[in-house]
Amino acid sequence: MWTRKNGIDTTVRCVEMAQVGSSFWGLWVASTVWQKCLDRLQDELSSQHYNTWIRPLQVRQGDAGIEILAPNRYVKNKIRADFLERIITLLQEESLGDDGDELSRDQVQLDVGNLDDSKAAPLRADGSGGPKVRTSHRLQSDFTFDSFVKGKSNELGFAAASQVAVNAGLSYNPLLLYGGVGLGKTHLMHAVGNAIRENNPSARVVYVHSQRFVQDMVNALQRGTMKEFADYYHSIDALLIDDIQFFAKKLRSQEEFFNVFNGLLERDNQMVLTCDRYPREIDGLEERLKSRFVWGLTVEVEPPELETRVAILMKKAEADQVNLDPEVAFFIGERIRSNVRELEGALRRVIANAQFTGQAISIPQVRRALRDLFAIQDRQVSIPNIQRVVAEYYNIKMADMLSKRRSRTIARPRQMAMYLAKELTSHSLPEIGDAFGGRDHTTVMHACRKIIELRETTPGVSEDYRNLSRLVAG
Amino acid sequence: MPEQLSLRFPLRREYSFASFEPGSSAEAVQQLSTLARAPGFVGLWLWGAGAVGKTHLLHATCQLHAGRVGYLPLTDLLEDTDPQGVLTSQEPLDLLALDDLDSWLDDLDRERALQGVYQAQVNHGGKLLVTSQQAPSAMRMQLPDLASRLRALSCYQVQPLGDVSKKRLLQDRAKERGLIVADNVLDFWLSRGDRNLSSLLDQLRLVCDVALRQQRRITVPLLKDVLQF
Repeated sequence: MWTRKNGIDTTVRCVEMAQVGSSFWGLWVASTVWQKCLDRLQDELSSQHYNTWIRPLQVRQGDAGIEILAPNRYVKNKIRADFLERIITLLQEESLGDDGDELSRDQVQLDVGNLDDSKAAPLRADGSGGPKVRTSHRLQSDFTFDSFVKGKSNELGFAAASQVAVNAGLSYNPLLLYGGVGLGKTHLMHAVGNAIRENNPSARVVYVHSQRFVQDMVNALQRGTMKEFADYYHSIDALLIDDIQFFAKKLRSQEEFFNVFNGLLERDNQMVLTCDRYPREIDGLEERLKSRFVWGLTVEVEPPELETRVAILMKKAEADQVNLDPEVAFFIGERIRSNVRELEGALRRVIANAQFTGQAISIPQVRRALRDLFAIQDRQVSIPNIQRVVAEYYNIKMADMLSKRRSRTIARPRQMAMYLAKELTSHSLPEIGDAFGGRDHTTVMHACRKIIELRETTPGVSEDYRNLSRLVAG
Repeated sequence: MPEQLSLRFPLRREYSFASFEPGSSAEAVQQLSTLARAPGFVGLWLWGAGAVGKTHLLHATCQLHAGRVGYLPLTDLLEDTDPQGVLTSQEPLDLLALDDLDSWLDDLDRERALQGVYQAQVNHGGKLLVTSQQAPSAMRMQLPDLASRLRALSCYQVQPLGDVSKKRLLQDRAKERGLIVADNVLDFWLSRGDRNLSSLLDQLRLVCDVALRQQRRITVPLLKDVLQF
């Protein structure tokens, strides 16, 4: 078994960490060994040889040991012919464990490739990448400035984020975006990260949710690896931390984050933060953090106005290759005002319904697809609620609904209410009869039959039924 | 076959799509039965009154879904000594089904645990199913961020079955046991008995048991005898 000098079994370590959602510890072990190997090669080789052949190599922790990746076949052949034996020897020496186990030859693989950040973090001989880089930057590639819909509510945030993306660490640092949920703060934050990486592919950009930061820190405390934890965060070029309000009342996390924050700012490394409120309003956050958070630029992202909501819907539909009439987009946008997230959720639901029913997206189709969301969604369908709605609709008194009066102006609404109660609730017919002034279940059956008959023969009753169904059940 | 992780809350084999009468919930059923095909994170929220089949649908979806799946009834989980801990320690899965949000929400610690699980499923690209009796917009939540994320899931109301569907279902279930229930018997039954589907199915089991034991056909007199109408 290949072990580190401190006796940690890297394979087992990797498995353990994968189980808690992180694998950079195994990588860190491999990278440490590799770095030592590089140091010795640099001493042994001429700078020309080292820079030409060794510097472009990358390494990652593979399932069976170490994988060395050459940028092309030419370099690979040269390495195999002239340097591989020496590299393996050095790796074996540097990875020798206390129990004498060592890295075997077949645990070192040489191949052509270029590390994708999503698989493992590279360690280049030039120091870019590195042992403390996480295996994933966690950026969402579809959150870009191009896919962000600008409007009055967010134009300042957009402008500031764009500035930060092209002048990382130099313009506004930290950039803090705050505002309600689902308004696009996280989108802008990812857009900054993606743009920085696009401008400088070797930049170490990391997105982390504050809860994840806290969890990683707790794990590091439990494992006694706080130094690695701190080194990792100090090595980042741009750190994007989402929802900093979650640091509230977590004193140890605040202390660590304070140190990370200071370290990154001292080196002009960019930080982008989001928060659901102005930082000074967060209870349980240390004053020194509150003041530092607003050192750079603090921008509020506001709920989008109607035109922006419509533009968001149109853009989202276009991305999904769905034809959305602007009139329909306005219809949805006027009714769902809460936030972008719920707006997009509503559109997904509309599209799914259109695909399921084979209908084109239209206002009536949207009404059907989103009836849960529109207006009546939170009302519980109950017999008293049905009675109240029907009484209001026909402009009669609730007392009449329950009375023994049999005039048509009273009896017809009562029959309609009984029918709706049968259709929209699971109450038994005797229960429905009871709820209407202690009537027999046969009366309910008669009422239901009557309304079914009238729906087929009398357009007005049919329309009343449709309207009342919508009012009661959405 | 899915790899089910929690033996504590096993999947019920009898809850399959084949044994579910979709009624007016056909769209939700279609979404659930094709869930595995969708790439990346997908979340669905089923809501509706008690005994309309939400739990049935969760079990059916879990059984159909490939990979690592987990079903957690949140109300039952609350009886655990550390319910949040159980949820927090839940590793991301290909499909995670959380039944009965009503009992879980409106509590800050529990919501934080749920938010962590939600985010883990998103990061993992897994699927998330949740159910509740209340409509999503009516659910009280303390974490606005969680509320907006959950409400942005595709929400489907599971409607109670209409009488036609109930009759068909009862007849199918009786037929599985070699018995026939005539339309007029069902009309009598539905006009007098509890119309809650769960109760109806319980009653059907009872009626079928008696019919088989006494070698009688299912008739109105038998219903009157057994169900005391």
